[in-house]
Amino acid sequence: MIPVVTSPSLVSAVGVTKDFPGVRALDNVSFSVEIGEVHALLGENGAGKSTLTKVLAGDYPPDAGWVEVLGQRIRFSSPHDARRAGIRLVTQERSLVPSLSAAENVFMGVLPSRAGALLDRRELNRRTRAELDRVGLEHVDPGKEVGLLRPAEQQLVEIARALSREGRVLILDEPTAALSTQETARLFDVVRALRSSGVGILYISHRIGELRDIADRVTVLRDGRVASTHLVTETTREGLVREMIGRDLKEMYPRRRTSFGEPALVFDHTTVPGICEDISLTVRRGEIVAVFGLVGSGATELPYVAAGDRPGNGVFLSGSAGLVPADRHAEAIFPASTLRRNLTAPSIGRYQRLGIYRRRAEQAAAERQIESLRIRPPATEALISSLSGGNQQKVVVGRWLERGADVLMLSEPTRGVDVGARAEIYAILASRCDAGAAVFIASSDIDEVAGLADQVVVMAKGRIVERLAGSAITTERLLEAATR
Amino acid sequence: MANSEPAAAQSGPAAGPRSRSLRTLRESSTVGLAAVVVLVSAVFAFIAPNFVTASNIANVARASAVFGIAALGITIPMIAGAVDLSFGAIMSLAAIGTAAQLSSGTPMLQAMAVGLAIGLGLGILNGVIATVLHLDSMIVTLGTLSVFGGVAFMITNAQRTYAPGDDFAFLGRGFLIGVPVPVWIMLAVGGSLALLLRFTTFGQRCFIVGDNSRAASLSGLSIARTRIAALAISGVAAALAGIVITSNDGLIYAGTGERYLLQGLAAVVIGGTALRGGTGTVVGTLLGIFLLGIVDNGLNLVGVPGVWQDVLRGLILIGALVIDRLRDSRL
Amino acid sequence: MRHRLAGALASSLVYISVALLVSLVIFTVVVPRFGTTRNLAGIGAASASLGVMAVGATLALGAGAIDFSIAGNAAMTGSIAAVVAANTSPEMGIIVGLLAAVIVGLVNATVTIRFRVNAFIATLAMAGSLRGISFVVSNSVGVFVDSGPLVTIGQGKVGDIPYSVFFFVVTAVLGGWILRSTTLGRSMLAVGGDSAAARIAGIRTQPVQYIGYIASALAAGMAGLLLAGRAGVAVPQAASGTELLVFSAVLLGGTSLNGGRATVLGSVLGILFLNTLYTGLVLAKVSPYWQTIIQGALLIVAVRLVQLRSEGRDPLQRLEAIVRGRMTDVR
Repeated sequence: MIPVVTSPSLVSAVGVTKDFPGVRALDNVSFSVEIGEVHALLGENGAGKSTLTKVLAGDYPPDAGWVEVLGQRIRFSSPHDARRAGIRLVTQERSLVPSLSAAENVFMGVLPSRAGALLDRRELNRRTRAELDRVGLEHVDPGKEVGLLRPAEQQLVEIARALSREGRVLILDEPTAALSTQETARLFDVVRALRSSGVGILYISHRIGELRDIADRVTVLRDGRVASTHLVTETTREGLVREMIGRDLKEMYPRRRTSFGEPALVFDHTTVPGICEDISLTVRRGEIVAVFGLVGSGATELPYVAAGDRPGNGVFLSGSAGLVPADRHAEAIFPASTLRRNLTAPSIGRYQRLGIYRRRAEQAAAERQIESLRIRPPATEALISSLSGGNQQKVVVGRWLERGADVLMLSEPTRGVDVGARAEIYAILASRCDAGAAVFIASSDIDEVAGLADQVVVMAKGRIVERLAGSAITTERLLEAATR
Repeated sequence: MANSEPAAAQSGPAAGPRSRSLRTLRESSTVGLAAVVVLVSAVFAFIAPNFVTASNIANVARASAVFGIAALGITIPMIAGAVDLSFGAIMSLAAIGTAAQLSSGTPMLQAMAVGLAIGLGLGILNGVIATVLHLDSMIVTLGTLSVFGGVAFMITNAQRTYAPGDDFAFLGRGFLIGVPVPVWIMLAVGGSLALLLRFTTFGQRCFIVGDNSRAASLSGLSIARTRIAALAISGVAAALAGIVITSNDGLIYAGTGERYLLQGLAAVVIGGTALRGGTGTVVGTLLGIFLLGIVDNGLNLVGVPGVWQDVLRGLILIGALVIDRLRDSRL
Repeated sequence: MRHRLAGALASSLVYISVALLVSLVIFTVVVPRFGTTRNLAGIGAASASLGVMAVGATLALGAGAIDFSIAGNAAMTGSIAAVVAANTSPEMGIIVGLLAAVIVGLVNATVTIRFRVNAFIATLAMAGSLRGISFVVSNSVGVFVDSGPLVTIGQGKVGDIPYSVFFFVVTAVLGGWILRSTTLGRSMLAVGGDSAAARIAGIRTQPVQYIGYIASALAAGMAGLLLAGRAGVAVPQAASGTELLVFSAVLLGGTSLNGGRATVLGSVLGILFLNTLYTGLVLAKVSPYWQTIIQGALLIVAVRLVQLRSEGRDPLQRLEAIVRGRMTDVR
């Protein structure tokens, strides 16, 4: 199984360092993928996984160190160079053009042509058919507009594209995030077939559980550094988690609560077309309820339904609600505004007397929140974009505390948040609960759900498939239910 | 783009240039613009001796004021993330309303009220259409530019509408303490809009909504109400501008307002208001208006033919936009 | 058969085809002189230059390039060609004119792609400058074009059908072919649909976007030549205000303002529809300004429909699903 490393590695990063303004994303990282190997890359959000893949794919030039392909040191000046070197990348970022057909997306940039310039539509459809069949999309018409496919199908179209271009190295960044168990199994078959044909695969995942099924070696990144590299057979789940977060999982999460108050948020047979069907659940004061589900399960959207952004029937709310959205950049941050304004936006109507806006009142409010949430830098007039992801997220949570919200709804609350800030955010949520608030989170981060929630509902395809409470909440049961 | 990727903790009070405040940046760009205005004036004063005479300054100011009033108006919705392209057509239509009323003997204030009401109504209509159809207001106002313009031509049959009355003419041609009345009007409009932005929560809402409308909506703010109100303001300002032009010329033609489309947008953009919304100042727009007026007038005095001025005006705007982007990417 | 019917129903061309057909039928019935070959040929001739512009604008929009300088570019090209032709040869005039048009396209592309300036405002500013250049070049008066290929194409006829109509048809067929059947055209749609995604997929996006602007500029230049040839004189005011009409027609045809969706046939039908409307209204002795009003209103509706389509919520797509008997397919 494990290749004997006598010949040069297929692709390797040698002492790669990459800096972004204010932060070192990669620090002297050395790492390699051998011929016929599936090498898994594990790490927290912000550990540097995406940056490393982008360095390997030629998107980012390293500030120090270099990339080698088959022992040859190469200088990528663009993604084109990496592609020419045989490196194929499937990212989490959307890389499909929604208005074009599945076929054109699979063969984008390398459309089959006659006379060099004429699109050969018949050949295109024939070859697309084969590629789609290979990833289990037998039911998808090559001519179907991609934007009208389901998220999981779109993900498979992207994978089909990467597979269709013969390459030496395939980088898969969280490919199974949106996939069902069957789809995942199908994908693993394809990956194994590629491995045995000598392709090297860099496999990035959050799901420690699935690594045993697919990976040969695993490297853990933490804070931009390589924490360890092991044979998968020599690892334990606990050990990997400890290496990922740099401490024991138990220290991350506050103690579970035991006594709960009145219901604050109730879904009563709620149905929202395209999102969820027949959802019933109750969030009580003093309680953290999590809804867990894979991408496309509808879980992420449930807080939006609760907040009234996606109206649905049978949603009852008592108290003042605040929503922390999933996509911080698109939905939460006011990029041209100050830290102050980002903390006070929902409460802006309050800072006035006789209709005259009072800047000083707003300022005082912002300073209060910065102090109590320990936001860094503690400068009300700083640009929000100069804050780290973790501090930005604390600001978004803080704006609802300033508003006095006592029903907090959070979708993917710690996406793109570093470990330190995550623990702080968990502590903030727990302390709000102790003060009588109700907390409702939707997350696809299994450890977060297992560590934080008093009650969990698991969603798949828009429906609740499992309910767990207290000590019954384990990662194994969560994953089993979500992929059922 | 690239710097949104890493998310490692930044501990301690951040030092250095990245913690510089937003206010400093904004103020520095306004001061920079003011410096450009002074510099350009100095250059023209040097090469065209007539430039600094009182009568010339009055001319520059009056010429700038007529479209300046409208430009100040569209600053508000642009800050709130709603570009108003229809203001020129609103200028014409409202002015036609006022002029028609005056011709039929309606008292001046009442006739003006009719014009302003037309502006208000059309502005609200823009906002309501954008809200109901979930469309970008740039598209909506591009459409209503045709619609309002078409109506203006249709009801006048492309003929001029005269606006009689010496009292009315005072608005456009008169002087008050040696300063042309349109300039007073422009300053009054600018002053009130600046106060509105700075000292009301509505003004603050405009910035929030323009910065990130999705985030504003999820923060519980009403995008629709803020933008409809902002577009109503630009509608009224456009109507006022149309009325002042009519007073100055003694008549109005259906196509008059649309001629100011480019100048109006240029003044606002040069003034530092972002087309995407979220940032901008009334003072900046005023400086933008002055700059365009000074350049026009200076080129005149230096003897550059009118047709060349059209060429330069467009190129100057493009230059300003490019500089704006370069400044933005530094931010 | 059922699938083909369903596919035809779901086509974005349905709306504009119905609009054109209905307007043709109504005018033919209501207005006596409307249905004559001569009148219909007149609509064709009037559509030719605008149609050529629309073909270019469609390609550009497909690639995500918004170019509002087309009318100004047409006027400039016509003027330059006429002046150069007067001093050298007609052929030289055409070459220099089109060269100038392409240079304008390159400048537009650089400003909007390299410097990421808002394309709408930048090209609007460019339009102002180009109009100015037309006046400068032609000395503010018309320049006669009395011989050479321009006059032949502009004024020659086969029966009742002017050569310019054939030119338009050839341009449209060529444009449609590029967009549908060449890898370049597909790349343009990919880049227009999502340039970041296209880049990741291995398309060199910048050259493709440049090509979009150049196509638009070149088509505008050819339209300017057609206009000059047809009138026998290149006037600096040529094509004034037609950018709104052309864009309305293109959007009415089902092309998306956000890029990635474009149909040349739809644009052709859009142009024919708007010209039919105009001619019909004139012949019916109704104010032709109704055409502008309807055009503006339909522009808003058309953009909304395209937006619904990309979300799978276009009423036609629902209808298609019903015909296919699979309601579940529609999200």
